[in-house]
Amino acid sequence: MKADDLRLDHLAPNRPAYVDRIDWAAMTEADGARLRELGLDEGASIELLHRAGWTGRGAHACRVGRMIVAMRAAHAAAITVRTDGASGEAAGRT
Amino acid sequence: MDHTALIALVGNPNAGKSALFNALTGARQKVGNYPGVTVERKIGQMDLDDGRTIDVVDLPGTYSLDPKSPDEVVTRNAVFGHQSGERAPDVLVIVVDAANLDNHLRFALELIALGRPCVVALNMVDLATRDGLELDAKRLAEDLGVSVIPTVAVRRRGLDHLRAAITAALPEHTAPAPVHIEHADRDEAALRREARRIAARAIVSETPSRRLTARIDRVVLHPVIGPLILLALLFVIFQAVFSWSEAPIAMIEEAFAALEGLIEETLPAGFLTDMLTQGVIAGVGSVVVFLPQILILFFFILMLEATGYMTRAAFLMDGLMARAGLSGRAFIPLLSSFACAVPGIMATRTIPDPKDRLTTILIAPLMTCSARLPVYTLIIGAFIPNRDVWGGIGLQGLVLFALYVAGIVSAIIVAVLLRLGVVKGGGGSFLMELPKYQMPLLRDVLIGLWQRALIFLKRAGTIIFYTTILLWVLLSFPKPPADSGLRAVDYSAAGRIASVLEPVLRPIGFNHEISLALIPAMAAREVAVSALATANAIDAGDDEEATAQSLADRLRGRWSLPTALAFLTWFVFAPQCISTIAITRRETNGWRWPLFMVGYLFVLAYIASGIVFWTATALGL
Repeated sequence: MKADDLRLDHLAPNRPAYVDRIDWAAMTEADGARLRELGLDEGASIELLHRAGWTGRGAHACRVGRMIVAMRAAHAAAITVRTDGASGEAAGRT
Repeated sequence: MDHTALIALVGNPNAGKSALFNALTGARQKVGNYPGVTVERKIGQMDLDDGRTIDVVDLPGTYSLDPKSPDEVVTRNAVFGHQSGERAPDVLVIVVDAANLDNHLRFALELIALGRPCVVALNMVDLATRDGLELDAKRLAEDLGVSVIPTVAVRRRGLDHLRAAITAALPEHTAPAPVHIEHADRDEAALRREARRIAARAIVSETPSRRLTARIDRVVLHPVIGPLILLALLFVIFQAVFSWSEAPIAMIEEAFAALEGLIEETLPAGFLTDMLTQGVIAGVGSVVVFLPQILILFFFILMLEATGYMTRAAFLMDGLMARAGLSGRAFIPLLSSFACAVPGIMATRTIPDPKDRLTTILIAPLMTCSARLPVYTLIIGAFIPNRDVWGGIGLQGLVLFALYVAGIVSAIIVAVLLRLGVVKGGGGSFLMELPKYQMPLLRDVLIGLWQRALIFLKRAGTIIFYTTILLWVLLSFPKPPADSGLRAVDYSAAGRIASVLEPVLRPIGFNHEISLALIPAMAAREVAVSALATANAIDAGDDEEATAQSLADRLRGRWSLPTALAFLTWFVFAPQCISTIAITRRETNGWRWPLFMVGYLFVLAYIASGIVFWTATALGL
């Protein structure tokens, strides 16, 4: 991961973005497969909605396409996002 | 057609499959288990327009045919026709969420590719419209190559068209054969791209919407307000369990009293009359009387599930659960365990990590199940004054709330210790979908309540009925000599067994009567109440004044407050439920973990009851 990469757990809430890449090695194979089944893969449109807990390090709720997906901060940290334009595959479809 | 056709409802979690199942089958449904596994099997019947009656099975929700949990294995096997206890389905009814097409179509495409007859139920189109989506079902059907029927299961819309499409898709004359299970070697990325492409083509227009879910989530998922709302909700539920149930409980008590009077008037005095009045009615009646409270608790749990709030509670609780070494996913099984640990432990199958799951199973019995309510309400009613402490909050409800909190706090502490010791390693995952909020349909909630009521009454009519009769015999015989001055209960066989146990339990404040009640209560906790009721009925004998006294009054006269508090504490921990032990054995594939669970819970029960008894005695209560 490069220094200027924007991680999902650092994304400002309600700011539209899309998934640039996912560090699949940072999670178990089963978690990776479930993330993909929930629509999380390169190009998917994503928006951070809520962080649970007073410290903000609790679970993260994100809009992925038209679905809301909850995940832990560690998984959010493995997802690099981009906010420039609305060019993701999914974001671009509408 | 020479066999009863079977259709299978299959789709992603939160697609509205269960609502569609209820809409198609109404009350004509049965809930059981698949043989050899503890995955729930929901099957029902529906009538087609041509007069045929067919079977409908509601398969567990899954995201793909690549299973990650026992539920998902059942769905995969059932779809392929390889599930034991289930024949191959004639038609797959693929249920997709209209507002979440691109995600749900991925699995739909996988299912359609199997080549079985399929119909797609484009469900929850009303919520899609609410979200500003206008869809073209005809174009979607062309792209998928199968019939697509827009439905709103909870409002029973589109069902006639769906029934017609199912009829048209049913193959004539032949039963379908199982097909070979293909292991995933498909191009996942291509499948997802195709799903998105088809979804995008099906969307006619997409306008900014009211986003009701987003507005509600801003409040209920707020880091400060959200947990306060959850806590308040739990508090309201437990207060309602007490206050709403008063009138129906009184009606049930009157009905049993009338039945007892009728039997005494109709039958001659003797063995049979005594057994029916002192044994069956006193025992079974004392448990059935708690049906209103159990149904109120289940009503709230079903409502929370149906509205979509339950997963929000898991989201809020994940941080706390993570500190205890658990996943937020464990919150739903643990909350279900407040109703009954058996479905709670079964619900742990949705937890993918084996160690997370084992820890959740081992602490599930610490959640205050509905079977404890008869015990708690009897003792609280007898020993805790019925008065308001502050702002309309009742002291009795507050004590009940404290007992629930004691169970939760103990569960957290035990989970931490387990994760540091015998269940070390693994864990650290929480991935789930938060569904849209929706207004629950009262009919679906009532069907759920009806099924729970049947399960409870079946227990009352079988295990509690037989245990009560056996206990009545053990409590009634042998009779003490006429002029001995001995109490019938103390002289009886059960009384003598209790005398063996009593020296072990006496240090923690338990008397002979409690020792006696705890033995049959190993079968189920609520039997403790029926055992106390039966023993008291026998003890009162022909003494009219004693018979007229309620069980609570008689206990108040014979137990000290420290003993009553110790007795309540015992039931926070003690694993007195054969069904829970049996389901733990099945879910953990052996006796090691259920024995461990029983052992640690009895040790905890003894120590905690002792501490409460000694402290209360020292304080002069």
